[in-house]
Amino acid sequence: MGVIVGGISAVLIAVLAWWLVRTYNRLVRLRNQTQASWAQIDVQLKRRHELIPNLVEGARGYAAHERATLEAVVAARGVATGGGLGIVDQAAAEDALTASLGRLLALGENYPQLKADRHFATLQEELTTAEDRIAYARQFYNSAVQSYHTALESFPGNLLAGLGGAHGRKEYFEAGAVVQDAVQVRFA
Amino acid sequence: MTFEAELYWSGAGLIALWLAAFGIALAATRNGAVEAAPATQEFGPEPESPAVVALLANRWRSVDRAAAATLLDLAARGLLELRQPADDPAHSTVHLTGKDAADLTPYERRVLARVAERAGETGAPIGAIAFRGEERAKAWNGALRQEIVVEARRRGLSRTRFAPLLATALFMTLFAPGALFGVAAVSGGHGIRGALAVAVLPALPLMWLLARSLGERATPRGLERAGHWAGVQAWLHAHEEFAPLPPAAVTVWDRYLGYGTALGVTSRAGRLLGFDAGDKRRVWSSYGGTWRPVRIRYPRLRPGFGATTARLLQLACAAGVVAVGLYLFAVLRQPDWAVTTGPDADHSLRRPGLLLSAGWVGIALLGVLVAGRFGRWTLFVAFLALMPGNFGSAHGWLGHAMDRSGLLVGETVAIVSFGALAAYYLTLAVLERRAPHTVTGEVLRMEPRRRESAPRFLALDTGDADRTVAWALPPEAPAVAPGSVVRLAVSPATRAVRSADVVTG
Repeated sequence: MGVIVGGISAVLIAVLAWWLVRTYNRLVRLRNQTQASWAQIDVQLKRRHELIPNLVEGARGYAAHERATLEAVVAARGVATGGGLGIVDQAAAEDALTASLGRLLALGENYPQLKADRHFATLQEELTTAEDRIAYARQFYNSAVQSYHTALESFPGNLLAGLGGAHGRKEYFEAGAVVQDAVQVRFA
Repeated sequence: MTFEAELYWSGAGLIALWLAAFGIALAATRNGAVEAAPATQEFGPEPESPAVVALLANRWRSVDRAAAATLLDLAARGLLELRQPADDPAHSTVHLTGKDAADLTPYERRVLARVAERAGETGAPIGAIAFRGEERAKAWNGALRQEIVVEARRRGLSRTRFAPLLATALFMTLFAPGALFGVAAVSGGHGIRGALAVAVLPALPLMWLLARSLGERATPRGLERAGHWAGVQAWLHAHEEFAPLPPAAVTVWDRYLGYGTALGVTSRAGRLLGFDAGDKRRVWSSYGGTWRPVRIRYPRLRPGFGATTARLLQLACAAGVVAVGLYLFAVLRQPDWAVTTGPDADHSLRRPGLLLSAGWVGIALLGVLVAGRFGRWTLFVAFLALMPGNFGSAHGWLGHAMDRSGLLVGETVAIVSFGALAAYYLTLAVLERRAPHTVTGEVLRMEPRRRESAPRFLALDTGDADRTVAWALPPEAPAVAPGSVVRLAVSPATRAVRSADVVTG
């Protein structure tokens, strides 16, 4: 009788241990996924940052006296690439950069020669592509953060999170009001 | 060794040689290993379409999920729109946007055409995209695969597994062993039919092997791109929230949803967008004005389903014969039938259960004979049916049953049941003589039966109910294509279709 009870207890303990290990490993995997997703955002942001100097130089050739606009872009880029920013501050800096870039690209409407410049057009296209990629990277990152938070706040993730350390809530990389498109509501 | 024996052995040797050559050809043309790239969200420059990615992800063997992935990709590119009006993604609808479709590939046009056929101008539930029959779904998907393969070859990602010369050589040589067997059979004095059979038989399995292995294989460029897409797959797999995304999530995830479906990551979206034969029991129909799911019941076990008056009378006779037979057997049998007799007999019971079983099974066989259902397995089944009685006798059971005079309880139940069945068939036969009813509606499905002589199921939506019971289309009547609107003259009692007129094809 004692052997049977002992055997059942051993099986239950083994199952419990397996469940806890599995849950903890899932937490680790999800945390790593948020980090990998953030790295993707970082790559896309760097790609955009690298395009900006050429874009500014291209615009300067046709619209040199729009100094304020050009300098605003350079300054916003400086803040965004300055380093040491947290996720929320980085998102705000990128929003500011996006807003100043919008004003720079709008110059093309006032300066037909600038608009017709093939190099400027190519850069503009590359910038658009880079921004699309940033948008998707942001979606993936936020999705990873959401999965991680759900796992952290669910049982037994909420108990296990404190054991190994290094587990805590992550910031969402949210689009600011400047870059958010108006939501189009369609009634099916 | 005789000349014939030499020929047979030579043929066997040729088969071994052919198999060896075939094995070498298979080994030489197998796909190399795909080296998965690091997990990435990048599609790369000029990415392949999701349909081609599905071919690569399925190791060049099939294009599973390609049609669903293409639909999602068309939605991401604005040619289609997916809307989810409620919580259940299965009720999502697909709509044409009217955007210019000039630059589409043939397989994209095929998918778009299928959606347009179902959606029209008002849209359709995604479940309505499925085909309502195996054959059409198979033909459509076969053509889709061909078009995708053409595109993959154009991009240098795929090629035929065997070069034409090799395929021809393998095909021609697979007849050589059979030829030797045929000559051996003729010279051994066998008739020409026997010789032909011996000549053809060895070629059939070899031909099957060859046909199975014909197909596509990777090019070096294809393996490289497959590795890249394996990296995308790993990236998408790592995002747990991606797998259960519904089709309407394409609004947020754009082309990622299509690629995720092609790579087998977004299983839910792929499952809901089935370009297959669809669910036999639940079909979306717009007959009557609005789209709604119609549940179909197929009365497989209903007695007299689709039977003619003559057939019903025959079945009534069969059931009556069994009922009367069982009654007579119960009344006329004597306890001493199962007692050993003769000069040395001790008057002990000999297998009373077997005797009872033999009587019952014999009567059942008579009923089967009258019903015209005597087949090649009937006697075998009858033999098996005797076994429980024999087993019971061996263990001393059923002895008392044989001793008793009159009806056993089981016999009474069987007699009443078969009597009722005979009465039921007779009633159906009378009802069958009444004037037929007329029903008009859209054919939802045509389902064949395993027995070719049995009536086929014809599921019709009359537009006034969400449930329907299939009608019985006689085997000799021409098939009606699903989607046609037909006017049927039917007998409600047997659900037999007496005549069918196609209103719109």
